[in-house]
Amino acid sequence: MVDALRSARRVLRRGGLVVDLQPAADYTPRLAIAYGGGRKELGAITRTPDESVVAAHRARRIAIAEGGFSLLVSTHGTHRTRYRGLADLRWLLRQNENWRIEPPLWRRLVQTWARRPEGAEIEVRRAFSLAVLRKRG
Amino acid sequence: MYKDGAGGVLTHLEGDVQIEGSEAEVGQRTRVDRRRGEPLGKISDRGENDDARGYPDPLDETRIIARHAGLAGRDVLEVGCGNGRLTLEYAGRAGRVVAIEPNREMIREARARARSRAIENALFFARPAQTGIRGGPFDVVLFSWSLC
Repeated sequence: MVDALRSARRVLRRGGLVVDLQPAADYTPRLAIAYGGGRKELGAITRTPDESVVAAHRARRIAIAEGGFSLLVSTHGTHRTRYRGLADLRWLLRQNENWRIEPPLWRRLVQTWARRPEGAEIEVRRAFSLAVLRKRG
Repeated sequence: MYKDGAGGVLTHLEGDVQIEGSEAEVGQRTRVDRRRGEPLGKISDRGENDDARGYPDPLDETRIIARHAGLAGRDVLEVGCGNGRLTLEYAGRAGRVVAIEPNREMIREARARARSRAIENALFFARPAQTGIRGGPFDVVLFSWSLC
């Protein structure tokens, strides 16, 4: 990512911008059951730091420290995804090897899911980070 | 509290928007948004996502990017465009778009989707970031969920 940012600087016009939207470096995914207009919070998914995400954030800092960019905007937010059942959630966990649903949360999820209202979905909320860097010089 | 990672700035989930000097750049003004986290998410499900990261709705994502950077009329290079999920949302307002992605299958899909939407100002190339960031000059280089 550091090299990519250096390359980006080379192809930018004077004063041009890099927009970098990534998962937040440090966040805890939240699990809920969503239905109709409501939602029931179930708890937090355990997540160990994702090395590639940490590296991407480090690359931002390096690019700024090297003097090639100035930090124009730094902001964050959340986004949600919904899954239609436990099988999809298991799939999600397989894809994110650094995520873990501890047994008490998993039990709570299964129990709540078994009593779900019609149309309910499993919701995962996570955090993102957005930075805008301006080319210097 | 989320650790933002850019310039060591920490952002809270509550509070007002503040304009303050960056820790990384003395004398430079940096906008640090301390509002409650921006809700980026009309909800999408697995079927609409490209992979396990569970991307936000591209329309919402374009809106937030445009709010902070502006894309109208700009020459944009997008790194790691995937299947064009985001590209196709902002291409209509950008001047010229070059989008790169190492996965050839994704690029084929992106081209097909662009054709189906009659988007003519976006070019898609199967290139990795390591060698693909070239050409230009561009006004904006966009990395959206691309951990290259």
